[in-house]
Order: sequence, then C-alpha cells, then structure tokens
Amino acid sequence: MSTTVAESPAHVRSGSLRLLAPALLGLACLLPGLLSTLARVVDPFFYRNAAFLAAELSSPVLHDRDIAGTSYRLMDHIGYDSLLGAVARVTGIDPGQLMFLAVGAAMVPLLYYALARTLLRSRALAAMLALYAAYDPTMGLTQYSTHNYAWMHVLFLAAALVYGEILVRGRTVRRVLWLFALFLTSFVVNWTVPVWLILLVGLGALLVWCRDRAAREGMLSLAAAFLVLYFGYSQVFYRDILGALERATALEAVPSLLQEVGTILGWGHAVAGPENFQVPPTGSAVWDWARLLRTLVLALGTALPAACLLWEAWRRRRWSDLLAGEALWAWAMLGAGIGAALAYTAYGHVSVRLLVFMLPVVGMVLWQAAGLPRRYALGFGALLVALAVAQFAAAIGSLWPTAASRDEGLLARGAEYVQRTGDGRVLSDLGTLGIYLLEDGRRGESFLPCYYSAPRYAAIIGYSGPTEQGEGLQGCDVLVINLAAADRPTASIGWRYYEPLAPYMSRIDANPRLQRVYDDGVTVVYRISRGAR
Amino acid sequence: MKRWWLITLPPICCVILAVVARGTVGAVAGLLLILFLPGWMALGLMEGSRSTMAVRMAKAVALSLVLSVLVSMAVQLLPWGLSRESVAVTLGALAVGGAVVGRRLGAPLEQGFWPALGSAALALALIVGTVALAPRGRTAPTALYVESMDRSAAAERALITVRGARAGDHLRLVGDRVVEVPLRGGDWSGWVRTSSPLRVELWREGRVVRMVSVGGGGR
Repeated sequence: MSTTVAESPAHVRSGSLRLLAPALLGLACLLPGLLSTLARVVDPFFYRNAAFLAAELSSPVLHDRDIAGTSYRLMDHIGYDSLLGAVARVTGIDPGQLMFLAVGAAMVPLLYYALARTLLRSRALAAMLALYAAYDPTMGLTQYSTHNYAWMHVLFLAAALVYGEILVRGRTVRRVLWLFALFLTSFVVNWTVPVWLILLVGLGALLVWCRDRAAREGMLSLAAAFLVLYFGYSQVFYRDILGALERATALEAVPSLLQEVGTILGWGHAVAGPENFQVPPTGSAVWDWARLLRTLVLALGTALPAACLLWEAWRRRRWSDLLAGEALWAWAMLGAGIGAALAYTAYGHVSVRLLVFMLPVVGMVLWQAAGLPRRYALGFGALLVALAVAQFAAAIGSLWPTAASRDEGLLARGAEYVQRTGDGRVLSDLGTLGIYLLEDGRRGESFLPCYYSAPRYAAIIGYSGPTEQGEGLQGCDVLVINLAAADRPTASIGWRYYEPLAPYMSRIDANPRLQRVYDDGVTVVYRISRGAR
Repeated sequence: MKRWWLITLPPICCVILAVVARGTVGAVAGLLLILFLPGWMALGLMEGSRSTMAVRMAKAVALSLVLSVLVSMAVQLLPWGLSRESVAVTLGALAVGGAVVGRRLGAPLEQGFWPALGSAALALALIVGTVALAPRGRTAPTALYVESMDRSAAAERALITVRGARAGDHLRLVGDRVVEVPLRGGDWSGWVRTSSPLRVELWREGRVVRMVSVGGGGR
C-alpha cells in the first residue's frame, strides 16, 4: 500500500500540532468548571430542581409535586426536568452529584467560540472570547454545571449562531428549520430564552427591512410565529407576569432601580437597619475592582466602535452602511439585550443578563465592522480575559469549601436532627435549605422553609434600631446555621443577600428568643421560643 | 466515515455501554449519547464539510440537546416511560436511523422549498393565534397543582387547583379513604385535608393524566 501525501509523517506531525492548540484551549476553558465542581459551587435555587429529580427518580412519568410547601410546576420547564431526568437515569449519577457535573463548562465556551468564529475573522479573538465565557464568574458560576442556565445558554448561543449565518450567508431551509427547532426546545426548557429569541429575530427582521425591503433574510413571519407560539402556550406569562400586572406589582423594579440610583447620588434615603445588598457572594476587593473594570471595559469596548460606525454613517449620509453583514447581527443582539432587560421588569427585577452575556461578542463584531485596528481588538479581548480570570480566582478562593463543609455526612446529620425532632418551619440560608430539601427529596418528603427577610434578620441578631416592619420570627420554629457558610453573605429568595452571620454569632447566642439545641461543629440549630413567633 | 460500520458502530457501542455499564464508563457513555452523538450523526448529513470543526462540534452539541430534550419528553408518553433503557435505545436509534435514512435520501433539502416553508410559518402563526388566543388559554395544557398550603390550623389543608379540565374529568383523592370529585371542565379549586399523606389524581377517559402528592411528609 503506497503512502499518500495526506498520510506522510510530516503532514501527520503538523496535523498533531494543529490539534494541540484547540486541545489546550479546551482544557483552559474547562478548568474553571472543574474547579467549581471541586468547590461544589451551586446556585441555591438549583436545589429545588435537584430535590424534584431525586423524588421523581423512581417514577417513569414525571408529575407535579409538592416541594417545600409549594407546587413544583412541571409545565414551567418540562423539557429541562425531562432532560435532567434522562441524564440521571442514563448515566446513573446521583442528583446530588449531577448538580456539580461540569457539563455546561464544556458546552458554553465551545458554543461561544463557534459563534465568534462565525461572526469574526480572527481565530485569536474567538479563542479569547471562549476563555472569557469560561472564566466570567457572573455567568460561569451558575452555567458550569447541569443547572438550567447551562442548557438555555447553549440553546441561545446555537440560535444566535444560526441566525448569524442566516444574516451573513443567507437564508436556507436548513437554517430556518434549525432556528425553529432551537426555539421550540428552548421554549420547553426555560421561558426566558424564547423571549430573547423573539426579540433577536424580530429586531433583526426590522433592521433588514430598514436596510433593504426586498431582502430575504428578514423572516418577519418566523418572528411572528415565535411570538404567537409564545403567547399561545406560555403558562408563566399568563400565570406570573399577567398576574403581576393584575396585581399592579409589575414594573416595580423600575422605581426601585431609580431609587437605588438616587440613593447613590444622594437624592434619596437609605432604609435604616440591616439592609439587604445585592452583590455577588464574596467580600474580596479583587472581585470588586475586577468587576468594576470589566464593566467599564465592556461598556467602552462596545460604545467606542458603535460611535465610530454611527459617526461614519452620519458623515457619509449612508445609514445602510450601519447594517451591513455582521454588524446587523450585533445591533439586533444589542437591541435584544436592552429589550430583554426592559421585558424582565414585568417579572419584578431588572435583569441585564443577556447584555452581560453577549456584550463581548457584540463589541468585537462592531469593532470589526468599524474597521478599527485589529491589535486594539486583541488588546480589548486580552484585558477582558485577564479581568475575568482575576475575578474568577477571587470568587473561587472565597467559595472554596472547608474540610468540614465538604463532609456531606456531617451536614446530613444536622438535617436528620431537624427531621427527627419534627420542628416544623426551618429558617436558614438558601444553600442550607437546599441541602435539606435534597435530603428530604431522596426520602420522598418535603418540609416548609422560612426565608430570611430584613425584619427576620434583625430579630435574629437582636437588632433594636429602626427597620422595615415585618413578620419578625413569626411562623418559624427553628433557626439552622451552617457554620461553614456563616462567613458568606446569607442568601434568600428573590436574589437577596444579607450580611454574613459569623460576626453576629455571639449576639445570636445571647438572644433570649433563641435556644441552642444542637451543635455538631458544622450545623447549629436554635429553637425559636413561642413568644417570638 | 464512508463505511457503514464506521458510521453506525459508535452510537451502537454507546447504547450498549449506557445500558449495561455502570460507574464512570456508563456515565461517560450516557453523556456522549445524550449530549453529542445524535447531533453529530445527524449533522454529518446536514452540514457536509463546509463549516470548521469547532462550529460543527458546537452545532452537534446543540442538535443533540434538541433531540435529547424532545426524546426525553416523548418517552414519558410511551408505555415504558422514562428509564435508562428507553432513553438510551431511542437516542441510539435516532442516531443510527438518522444516519442510514440520511444516506439513503442523499442531498439536503432544496433551496426552492423555502416559499412553502415561509407560507407554512405564516399559516402556523395565524392558526395558533386564532385557536390559542381566543379565548385565552383555551389550548393551555391541563394542570393540577397545589395552590397553597395551610399548616397553621389544627388540621392541615391544601388548596388544590385544576386548570384546563374537560367535561367528564374527575379528581380522585386517595388517602385514608378514596373520594371522587367530578369536574365540569374549565378551572376548579378546592381545599382538601392533608393530615395524612394524600395523593390527588386527575382522571380522564379511564386513566390518570396528572397527579400530585401532598401532606404527610411535612413536619
């Protein structure tokens, strides 16, 4: 058998070298996910899904289930629950371990790289963006695992990629079918991503129409189909969002945001007492500085090329230049990010998640479209990666668990004590409640949690100054403190965090309303006296 | 990858390993089968070699995710339900079958097919809009859930809600004794005592279509 040119040793060697770079890039991208797995980083909200999975693992058909006193509504994310159920069954991995499996850490950077390679002409820039997506802790710490964010971000990135191909290389049947399948799947996985896709495709269609009314890439009919499907079948929209509108609580995030800004500028009054703070769960100065700088770099890195493009179009009086090729994708994505932030206010929060997630690639695409020097773009990318790595290092350092907190047996012992005494409603931070929820899910049981609020926090640490009026400790039977997590901000529902409890432990012990009934060095349980409830 | 055995062997091996093997090998085979192989096999037929390897891999992951989500949702409706074997075999069959059928069919869909698809999207929008939005929630799937719990009273109770019930449906409360509640269609809410474990089943045409367990486990 003769040796062909393609099989010659020199060719094989250069092929191996060509494979080395992507392999190293892949490993570098996987590293933060693996570290997060070792540190057992978890979004406390994920525990509810895991508890549901643990409880339903033996059932061949998933059902709605009563978890922690409220119904776990399968129809809100049936695709996600089914997928997680399939992964757990086929791989045989326990739900408690599946929560920390670095699946998203492998998928998201790959999709981000592919998206950047489709829209950018530079392989180095695409690699930097993949690294950024892997290390950015604001997204990475939740999307590294099998959390809903991992799947929904993968689906959205794939849809953004296919839509980019449609805008840049033209519309084909295959690409349209792709986009449709991704929309339908994201619809059953999470209700947010379909909104992002409707905004992206709708805005893209409008921009295409503005540029060239005869162009075929617009697909306004597809955007309409997405919109109608969403409003035809979205349970969350009719139950939660429309319900919020009927209760007139929608858009309350806007005045609260304005109040926050006013307070910073000295125009408003801060609420006295142990005010909640919504910062990431770390007290590290490196984190704070890296976060601030990264936000500034992202904003400048997008605003500068955008301003250049606008100036050039205005100077030449040719506005269609703004919407050429990849730039149209970037403007549509930017608009979708802003639109998603506004749309989310109907849910009671201002969420800039899509903007934060997509701004790096939007900025780079605009940079390329503006024709600015490539070395500056590389510098911008390198700076972003460096800041993301610094921020990730600060986060993982503060989140790294102690030996005691890694001991699941010890944590389970505290849960068993509370379960055995049958002490009713348990007040604790969201992470500890999640561990208890998972333990109960394995037994097919459920308990009633009590969540932290400013008045409850004040009542626990014996704060006597002015604070918000509220329920105090009413309705709570026991207070559980996980000592290993007591030096971190105390998480509660509604994305609220309160000060760490560790500095207040002596005040909690001295609180006459609380009686210490259990302490194994990891978990401390206090019984709340009846008069305090 | 021109030989048949080279195309079909990886998914077949993965299915066998995912079903038979346990531990790390079974987990890796299962993850490959759910998150990569079906998409990779299907994409080989759709994309050809025009895209870069990274883009093809990314698309394979996304397509696998699409297939896995839809398959895991679908097998729940089948008599054997969601299990290791049903998911693995279905995904494997899709991967192998997709490759075989794709090879038989040959070229991808023609570009000229688009006008029909464009009209279909518009027609779909109109049909779904007309049917689903007037009146609101008419086609909403049936839901059964616990609206709220009351455990402060002497007897625990839960507010059960049914949405989208049809005429002839009935609720079956299975606890210490069995109680049947006929439904007239539409939405229904009612308090039930949950001092002991209680299973609430929504029956339609002789079978349970929704079920929720309440009470008993709460402390």
